[in-house]
Amino acid sequence: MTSRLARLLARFSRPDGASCAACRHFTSDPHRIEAMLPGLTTLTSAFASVASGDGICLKHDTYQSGRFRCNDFAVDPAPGSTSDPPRP
Amino acid sequence: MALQPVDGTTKPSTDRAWLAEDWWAVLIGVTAVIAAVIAFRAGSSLAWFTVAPRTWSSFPELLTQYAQDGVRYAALGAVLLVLFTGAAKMMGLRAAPFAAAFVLIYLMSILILSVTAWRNARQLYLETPIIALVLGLVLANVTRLPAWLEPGLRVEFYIKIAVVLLGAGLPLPVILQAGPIAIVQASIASIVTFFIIYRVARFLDLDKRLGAMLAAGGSICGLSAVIAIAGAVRARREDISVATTIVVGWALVMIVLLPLLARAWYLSAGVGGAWIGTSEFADAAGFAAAQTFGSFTGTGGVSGTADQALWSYTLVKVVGRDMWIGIWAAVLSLVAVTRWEPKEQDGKIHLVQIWTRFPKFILGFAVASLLITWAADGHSFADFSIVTRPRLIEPIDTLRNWAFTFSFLSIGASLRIRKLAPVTGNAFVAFSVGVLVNLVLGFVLSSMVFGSYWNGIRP
Repeated sequence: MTSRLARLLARFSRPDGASCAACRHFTSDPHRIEAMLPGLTTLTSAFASVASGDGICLKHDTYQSGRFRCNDFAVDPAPGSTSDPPRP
Repeated sequence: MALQPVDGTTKPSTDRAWLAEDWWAVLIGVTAVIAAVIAFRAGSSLAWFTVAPRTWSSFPELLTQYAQDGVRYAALGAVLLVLFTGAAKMMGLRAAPFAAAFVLIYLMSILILSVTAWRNARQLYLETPIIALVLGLVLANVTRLPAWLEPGLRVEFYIKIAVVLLGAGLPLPVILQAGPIAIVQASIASIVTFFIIYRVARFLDLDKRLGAMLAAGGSICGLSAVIAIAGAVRARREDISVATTIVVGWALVMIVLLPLLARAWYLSAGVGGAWIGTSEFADAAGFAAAQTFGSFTGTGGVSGTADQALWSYTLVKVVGRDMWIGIWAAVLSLVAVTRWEPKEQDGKIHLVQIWTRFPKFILGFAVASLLITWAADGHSFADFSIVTRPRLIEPIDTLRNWAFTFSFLSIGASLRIRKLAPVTGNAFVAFSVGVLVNLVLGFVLSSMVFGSYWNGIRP
């Protein structure tokens, strides 16, 4: 019981450097998200508050919070660099 | 099959709250209200600046209007162009394509508002939302609208500005009085609809995450809820595409269906607006439906005023449903990481999302209401009709109608039907069951349980 509670509480702790937000497979660029989710801009926006820094995991093809973690984490070799297509 | 990672992927900070369009909508909307209040307090008005087509009967009459008001249209367009392009640039969009798209949207909006100002337009069901939507759909799907115009088609940006401006028409006491009722009604409908869609989806063997996205989309706030819940539960991209197609499709159907049903059943403006607020999913689509229904007041056979339909819609939809999206996301992320996640994945629950996902434009709506309540304080009822309304409220209402028109036009123009994902039968069935239950439940709550209240809503 105590260990289950401890595990649950651990879920609320701050994410560390290995969370998806720091992973090379993850993008939270709203331009890219809108391009990858056709129809999204018809009734909402990746620039909206509700999006809250969520992004797309290019490895697993999922849309998710940057606070998740998984075993496929890969360090971003050059954070902030980009080879993305030009912004719309 | 997993996608290949992209080398050197952009890693923008997840803390980009100041970039969110919600805050820019608040800034622009509240600035407009402050400008109106300053002008009013100084004994002047924004009325010259906030031009719009007036009722006309013949083309020569319309052309005369254009000739008389040409400078005013140019001034309004120039100021909106500068404000919107500046905000778009700050959000990270490229300024030149956005500006070009906005000029096109503005010119087409003049055309749309001119058509609806035609004396016979109402008899032919030529309402602003319907014309804007159809024209946008034709542009996007029949003609070849250049792709570089797409950044200017910001449905949500325009509708959020309109919501902030709408706050100026609702005195704060009305919001405080109506808020609890709107929240109770919306909560009942949201919770019941959510669990019906989710249970039907699970009964039909749909994935839990897809079920949760469909349930949130149908019960809270359409596609905004879909992506908020998708992020919270780690949804597959293909499932988001399925949910997008279903939510957009149903939302468009409801824009046409709800106003016609509400009129056919002789609902008053206030009751009909509350029903639309309970049963339509997406904000922009709901405003299109509520504005269309509001246009049936007067000679259209619906009792009440057009504003009553918009007010009751806004209270139920924006105050009653939208503002709880962060809590729904937090609860579902708790369920996802404790019960749905595979062992090799380790999700975190961040309660701060209750605030980060909060639709900030609701704050702008409240601030606008507060400002107008303060500015109009001390004026008698007679003064309100003769002085306050025409010199303070009506210019803001006109700006609001422009913002609504930009948004409705953008809905159609941003929807490339060919690009939408095909819909799976079970997902469609699960969502549709929820829509139908929500329609009945919303009708009962709006017209019977809280009917006397919505009938009497007025500033």
